[in-house]
Amino acid sequence: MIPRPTRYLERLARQLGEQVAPRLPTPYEQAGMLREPLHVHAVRVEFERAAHRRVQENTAIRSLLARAARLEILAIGLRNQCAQAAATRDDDLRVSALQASNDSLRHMLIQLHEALENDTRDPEAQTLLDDLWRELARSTERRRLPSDRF
Amino acid sequence: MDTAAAHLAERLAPWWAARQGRPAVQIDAVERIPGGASRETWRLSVDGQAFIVRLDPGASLIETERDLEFAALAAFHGSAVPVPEPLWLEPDPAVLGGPFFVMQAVQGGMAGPLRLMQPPYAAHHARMAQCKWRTLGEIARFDWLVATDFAKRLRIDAADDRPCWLRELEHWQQMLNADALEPQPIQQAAIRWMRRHPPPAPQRLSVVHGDYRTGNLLFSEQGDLQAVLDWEMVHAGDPLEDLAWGLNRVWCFQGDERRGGLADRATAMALWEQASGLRADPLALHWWELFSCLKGQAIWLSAAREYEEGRIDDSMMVTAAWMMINAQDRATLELMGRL
Repeated sequence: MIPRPTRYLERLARQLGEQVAPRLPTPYEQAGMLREPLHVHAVRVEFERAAHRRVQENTAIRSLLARAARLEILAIGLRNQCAQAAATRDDDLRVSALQASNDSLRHMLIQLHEALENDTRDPEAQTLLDDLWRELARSTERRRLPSDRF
Repeated sequence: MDTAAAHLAERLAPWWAARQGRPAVQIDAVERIPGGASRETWRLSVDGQAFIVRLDPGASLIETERDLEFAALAAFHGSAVPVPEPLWLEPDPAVLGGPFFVMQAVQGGMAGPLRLMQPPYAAHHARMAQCKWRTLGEIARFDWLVATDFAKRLRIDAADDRPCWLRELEHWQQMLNADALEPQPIQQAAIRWMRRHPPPAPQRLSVVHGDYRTGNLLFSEQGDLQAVLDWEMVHAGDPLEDLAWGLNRVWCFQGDERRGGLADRATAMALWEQASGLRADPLALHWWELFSCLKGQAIWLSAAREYEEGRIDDSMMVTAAWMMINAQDRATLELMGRL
C-alpha cells in the first residue's frame, strides 16, 4: 500500500485531535475523541511490528521448550508436551495465526514455569528458569509503546 | 444540552420534585463527566445549585453494589476524610434505567491526573502528597464499626473464614482468569509466589477504599484535598492494600519515581505511617504491592474483554488495555526482581 498505512495513520491521528475533537458538542465527547490520536499512534506502531515481535517471541519460547524437553528432572509427560510445542513452526505469517501460536506456546510456558519453580535444586533447571524469566522481561520490552511511561 | 443529557433531565425532574415535596423543579446544565469505571457520572444544576448523579449503566467494567458506595460516603461525611455529601439513593431502575444516587457537587476541584501534573497544581505537589497520604492514613484508622449501616454493609460473611489476603487474592485471580483473552505467564507466576508467601495478618481490619489513587482525588488549585471520590470498590481489609495500590508503578504519571506523580515511595509511606499510626512493614507491603499488580491487571484485562466482545464501546476501555496491560506486567516483574 502506497501511501504507507503508517503515514495515513499519522495524519488521521492529527485530524482527530485537531479537527474533529474541537467540533464535538460536549466536553465529555471531546475528551473521548482526544484519546483517539493516542490509540491511532499505538495502531501505527503495532502495524509495523506486529508480525516481527510475535515471530521473535515464538522463536524464543520454542527454544526454551526445546531445552526443557531435554531436562531429565522434569516429568516425561511435560517433556513430551514441550518437545511437541518446540517442534511447531510459524509457516503462516498472518498476525492472527502468529497470535494463535503465541497463545499456545505461552500456555505451555506457564506449565513449564510452574514445574521449574518446584525443582530449583537442579542447576540446569535453575538456569532454564532464569532464562525463562529473562524472556518474560524481553516480551514486555517488545510490547512497549513509545508513549508508555513505564 | 445534548440529547442524552436532555433525556436524563426530563426523567429526573419529577423524581427530584417528589423527593423535595415540590410541584416541579428545573434541572439544567446537565453534562456527563468522567468518573469511575463502573458508573456513569453526570453533573447538573437544580435551582442554581450543583449536584452529581452516579448512575449504574447497563454494562459495567466492575460489578459493584450501588448502595455500598452511598453508605461509604454517608459514613465518612463530616469526618477527617473529605467526601461529597450523599443525598439520595434510588435503587429502582425504572427512573433512569439503572439504580443511581445523588450527591452534592464539590466545586472547583480537579481530579484528572494528567492535568494535576501541570500548573497551577505542579507547584503544590508536596502539599498534595501530604494531603493524599495523610488522608489515606485517616481512612486506615477510621472507626467504621460505629457507622452502623456501613458496618453492616462491610461486614464479612461469618461463614467465610479466609484471611483477608486470601479472600482478595482469590477474587481478583478469578476475575483475571475469567477475563484474560491471552495467557498471562507473568501474573500466573505472581499468583503462585503470593500463595507461597502469604503476608502477616493485618495490624487492624480497616476500611479499604479499593481505588485510592491520584485520579480519584479532587484537589483545589492551591493543592488542598477537597474530596476522595469513587468509593465503588470499598471493602473491609488490610489497610496496606490501599497504600500498596497508591504506590503501584503504573500511577507514575511523570515517568519517574514519584508515586501517583506526587511523591517518592519512602515519603508516601512515612506520611501514611504518621497519620495511620500503623507500620508499613516492608515484607507485608511488598506482598500487597504485588497483589495490586494482579488487581490492576485483572481490571485492564476486563476492559479489553468488555470492548472486544462489544459490551462496552467506550474507547476508555481501549486506553486502559493498550496503555496499562504491558505496564502492569512490567511493574510485576520489577517487584519480583525480574525486570
